[in-house]
Amino acid sequence: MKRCLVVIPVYNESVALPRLINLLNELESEDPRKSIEFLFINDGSEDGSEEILLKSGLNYVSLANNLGIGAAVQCGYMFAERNGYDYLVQLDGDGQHPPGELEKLLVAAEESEEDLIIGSRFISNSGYRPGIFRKLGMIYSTWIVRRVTGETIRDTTSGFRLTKKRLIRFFASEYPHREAGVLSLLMAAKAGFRFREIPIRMNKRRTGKSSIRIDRALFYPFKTIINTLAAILGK
Amino acid sequence: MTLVLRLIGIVGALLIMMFVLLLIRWKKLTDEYATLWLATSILFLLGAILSKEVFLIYQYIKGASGSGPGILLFLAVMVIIFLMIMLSSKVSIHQEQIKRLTQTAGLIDNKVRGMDETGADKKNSNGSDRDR
Repeated sequence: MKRCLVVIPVYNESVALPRLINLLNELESEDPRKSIEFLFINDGSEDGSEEILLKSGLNYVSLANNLGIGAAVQCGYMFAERNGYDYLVQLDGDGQHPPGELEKLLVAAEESEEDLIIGSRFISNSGYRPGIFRKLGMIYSTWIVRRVTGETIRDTTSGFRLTKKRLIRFFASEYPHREAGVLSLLMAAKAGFRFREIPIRMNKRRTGKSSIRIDRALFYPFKTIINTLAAILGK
Repeated sequence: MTLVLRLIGIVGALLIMMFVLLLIRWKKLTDEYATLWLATSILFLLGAILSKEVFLIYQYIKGASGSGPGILLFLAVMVIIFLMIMLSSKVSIHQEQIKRLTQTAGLIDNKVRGMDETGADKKNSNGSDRDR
């Protein structure tokens, strides 16, 4: 039986957390094989998210400082590698990724040879409508991934993805700090890993603010070029 | 160079040197940076004290190139840029180390919490066995 670790990075999500915890508890009780385990990564939250996690009884790692989503997710990879998990699924702490869609990723992982399965919002009509800046960023990052890897990934920034054991080991030692969605694909492709997309449904963000704002959107192309170069030139 | 300018240069260099020494005393500057900035401040001080010799070098460069101040300024900017790149590289390395340390500390904390819970569970079960 394959063991799967679901990693949920959390930063100041005290409003969205209780609902997500309830959903995960339901999912856990519905999993008779107990093959799925959850791990929250509290990325230095200052709004009481850690207290909520402590009371929930769910497993979590608490980082002393806010390191950013890339480093928080990498901590999940380190945990998965040290504890011998077969799969790692990344799930957003803001409730945008419906935990019910997990099964689709697991089935796709069993059926395919690829090391990374990406839950895509753009293969079928998932009802997801990104804002203009996010959309431009996505078009640009899809183009850059195609130029570098030769593969067309429509949802390069999707955080809802499943990673298999070999790639877990790789990401535990090397994972980008920022723009992790795109750069992790480039790094994995450069190291010879393969990936595929499957359609998923995604919820609208209920609380908090998106990290994509006009200032970030303006610098996104330049930062991605620099980071892409770093990923290509890196060891 | 006038005497006033020379004095200003010496006092400025001494102030920089004192500030560096204070930072070393307060343990806010590690050896490698301390060496770098002490060497820089000594260079400033020597430059201010031996202003005649510096002027001679300037004259030599001016004679060779015809544009002494321009070349001196260019060299100074190059040194500053080099120092800044070195410091950025150091900061990046430290940032990576802090990230690794924070992640490892988080993982250890998680493990200890798990062990505490297991220990508490064992204690509870032993207690209930004894009660029976």
